Amino acid sequence: MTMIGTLLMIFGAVLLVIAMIGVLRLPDTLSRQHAGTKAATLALGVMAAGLAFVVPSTGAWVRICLLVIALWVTLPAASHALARAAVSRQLGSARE
Amino acid sequence: MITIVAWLVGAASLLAVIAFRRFSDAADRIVAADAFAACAIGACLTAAAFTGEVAFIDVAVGFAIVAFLATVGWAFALEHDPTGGDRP
Repeated sequence: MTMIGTLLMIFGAVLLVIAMIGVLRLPDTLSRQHAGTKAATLALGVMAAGLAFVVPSTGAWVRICLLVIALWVTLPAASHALARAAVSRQLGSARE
Repeated sequence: MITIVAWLVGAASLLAVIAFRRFSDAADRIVAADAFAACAIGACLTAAAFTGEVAFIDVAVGFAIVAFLATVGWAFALEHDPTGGDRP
């Protein structure tokens, strides 16, 4: 079980690196945000799932569930707010 | 094996810092800071796996909430001041 958890954590960390490469290399704000938020949500979810195998205790599982719920609720909301801000900023620049 | 995770998370954090330094636009910098917060949460999870200490998961939950509030706050500031305060 620890081996499965470790492999999941490695997979999640690789996804995190890919997300950061996307943030660094994509051309504009919205696509950078797409790469950062979506891939980071998946990466952290996979890492949390792996951690649940590595630390097999009820307290850890409850906390991990809480973390995953917090991530799934907050990351899309923050991403949406930032996308709105980026678009209004682009529109504001276009009007000037 | 967990050491590999730590190195990968460290590499991701470094890429986020490089992105933060490279971008000049405020919205792009907020995206990079948000990405760095995701790396910090990953580092908390890695520390929890290293030590077996579940308190690190609590730290990760706190970090997620603080990063959310920071991103929403900056997004609100950008939306209501489209210049972002970084142009004269």
